Amino acid sequence: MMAPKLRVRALGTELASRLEAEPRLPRPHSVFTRAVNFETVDGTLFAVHGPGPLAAPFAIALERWRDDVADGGLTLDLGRARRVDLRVRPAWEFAEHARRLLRDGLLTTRGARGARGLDSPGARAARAALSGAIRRRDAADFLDAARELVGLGEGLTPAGDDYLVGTLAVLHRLAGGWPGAASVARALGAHAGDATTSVAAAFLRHAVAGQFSEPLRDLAMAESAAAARVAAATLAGMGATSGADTLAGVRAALDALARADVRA
Amino acid sequence: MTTRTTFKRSFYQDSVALMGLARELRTGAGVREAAALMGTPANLALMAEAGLLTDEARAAGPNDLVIVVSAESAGEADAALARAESLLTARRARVEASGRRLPRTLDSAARQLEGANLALISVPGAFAAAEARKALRRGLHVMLFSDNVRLEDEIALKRFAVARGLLLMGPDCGTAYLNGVPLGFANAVPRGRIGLVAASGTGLQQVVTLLAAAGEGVSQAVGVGGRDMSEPVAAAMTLAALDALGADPSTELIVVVGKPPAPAVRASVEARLRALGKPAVVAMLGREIATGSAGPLTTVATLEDAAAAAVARRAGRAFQPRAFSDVATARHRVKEYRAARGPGAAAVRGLYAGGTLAYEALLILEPLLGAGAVGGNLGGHGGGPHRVLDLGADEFTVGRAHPMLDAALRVEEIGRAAKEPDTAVLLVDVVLGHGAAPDPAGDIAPALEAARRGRRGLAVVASVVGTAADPQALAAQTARLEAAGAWVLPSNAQAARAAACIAGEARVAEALLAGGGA
Repeated sequence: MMAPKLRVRALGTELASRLEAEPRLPRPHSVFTRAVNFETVDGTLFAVHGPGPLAAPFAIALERWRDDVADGGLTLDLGRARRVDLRVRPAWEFAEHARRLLRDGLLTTRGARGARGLDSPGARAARAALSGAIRRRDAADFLDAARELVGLGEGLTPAGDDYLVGTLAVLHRLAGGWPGAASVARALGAHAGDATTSVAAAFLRHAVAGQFSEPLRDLAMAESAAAARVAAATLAGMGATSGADTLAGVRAALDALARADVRA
Repeated sequence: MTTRTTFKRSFYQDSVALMGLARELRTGAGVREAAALMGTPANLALMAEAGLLTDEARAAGPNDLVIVVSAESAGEADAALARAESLLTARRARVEASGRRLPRTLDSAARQLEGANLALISVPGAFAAAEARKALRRGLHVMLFSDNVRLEDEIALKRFAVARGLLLMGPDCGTAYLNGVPLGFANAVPRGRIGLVAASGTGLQQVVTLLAAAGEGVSQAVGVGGRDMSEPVAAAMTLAALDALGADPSTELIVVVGKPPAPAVRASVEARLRALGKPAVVAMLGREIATGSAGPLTTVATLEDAAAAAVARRAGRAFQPRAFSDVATARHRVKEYRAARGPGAAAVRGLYAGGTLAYEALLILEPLLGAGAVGGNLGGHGGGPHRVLDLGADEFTVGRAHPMLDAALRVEEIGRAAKEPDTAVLLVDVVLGHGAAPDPAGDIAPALEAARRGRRGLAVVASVVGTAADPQALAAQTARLEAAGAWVLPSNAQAARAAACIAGEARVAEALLAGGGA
């Protein structure tokens, strides 16, 4: 028996290949006014929201929002869905150009207000330590500082996690993935599972693997200043404070790399 | 100075809501500081830095919401926490009012409904077994709506359930009635004295609606899943359900509905039925069924006969199967349709929403229209000219809703079949009840009307599985089909026979319509 269908407008390529095999929605994990997170029995999360850019690397944008999305029994119709590659790839020899575009993108979002959590003394110290580690290319210090930020601050995705996701997007683009997906995945991914909310842990696990929300991917991979600005403005409006906190991480990573001897 | 904490397990709010909550609490009388944060280690450390971490807060996990208030006095701190509770409750009430709040886990569902003893599980097949096992471990009976559960998981789950005296209905169980509560796709039928065990959803619906039409009701109806009577599963749940019905004082007669079991399984089911000592009717749809009565068991060949035999048995009458309940009308209608048939039009096109109903139609049509004459997607022996399609089968429903919910596919197929010059009869089913479309007859009626307008002499033969108490109302749905020019018969079996009488050789109609009234 097939359940009623939710027509999907867009989703990430990796999520699409998983859902093609099993398009029925599992149980809801958390329900918001215009988005519902679902959790499969193996603990994997994905988010369903209305039309618009994919708000997470594990998000599904519907053609039309329906208030009964969380009611269960619905099946996703992926037939006409746009498959979006949400990976941020290294810019390699074009790193300088990519850095300029990212900077341009941030010009319009300087005033975006993040969560209070990032202003606490502990958070400020962890942020400074993270920037220092990026400048020195010290992987061990980077991971120590990152662990301090995981789970820090308000919200379903605490501000510290959003900040780290922004930082990781820049590192994937401009630092060739430094300090190395495997080591970060081991150290940060495992830590995130116990140290932050399930949703934030899912964001971090994807970020470590180079997968991001659509606006953050668009910002990091922008091919023109105009595209970068649009992406940054979109990102600034995401979530309650998540977009602003993510942008803070992007900005901090760009600053740190600018003061470092980076040969991406 | 007093610091008080409360935390809520697996409670999610966005950051703006939490910041707003904390801000609101800080305005309370005597409140010095307040925080509302997810209980991640980093946030607990943050609270410790601010002197807000209490022993209670230390017990919070990363998915728990922690609210902490520091105030001049214990009373003021408690008042602030009470305020937090009311703010969160008001927010939750707003969400509930919008109909969105659902339990997210078995545990939270169990908390919402104390004393619950059954879990209905509908999660993707790959995860269904784990959820079902979890529910069984909690001592809950399980209705497993999910399909695509591995056979070995089904066997293991059923063994696990049987060992604990629990029911594991399914997988792919769409219909059940337990203690008067209809579950899944179910018609509104009265409670009564007949208990059913079924490996088929629409098959069960057809039997219980015909029982209701005859004034009988259902004590319990247990779905067991389509594979239960296969050799590997060995009727594990059928036997368990039979035991339950045997022990149920409200069940006076038992009906078993399904497809033909493996021979050894059939023997064990029949042995169990005889051992229970209650009269029983067995309707295992299949070719070459040996019908008749032996001791407490009556074996029948169709779903309608299952209901009729049960009713006869309860009334102390002998059961006599019959081709049509109103032979005179049938004879008249068949004569008219045969006379109006266009040249070369001699084929039945069965376009079904109900899988078991389609299969039953195939089994009825095959011997009447000739071996090898009926094709379709149900393993019919032939490639044509007649065709029965189960439009709810996987090959039709990929990327679209089941035809019991969305008629678009059937409307297309009706249009296609009507254009085929050899089509003499369109044979359709309409299934009513909870979970079905709000107006299934109305959904296909325009297509049927158009088909009849476009093809002179085209017959539309239908049956409606439903009751007067169903949300769609049997009489209204029947009237809608009749208004579209359909001949609506009281059962799927009769509709299939009527189709054969119209499209088949003259001898078919002569044989089926012989005797039985003027």
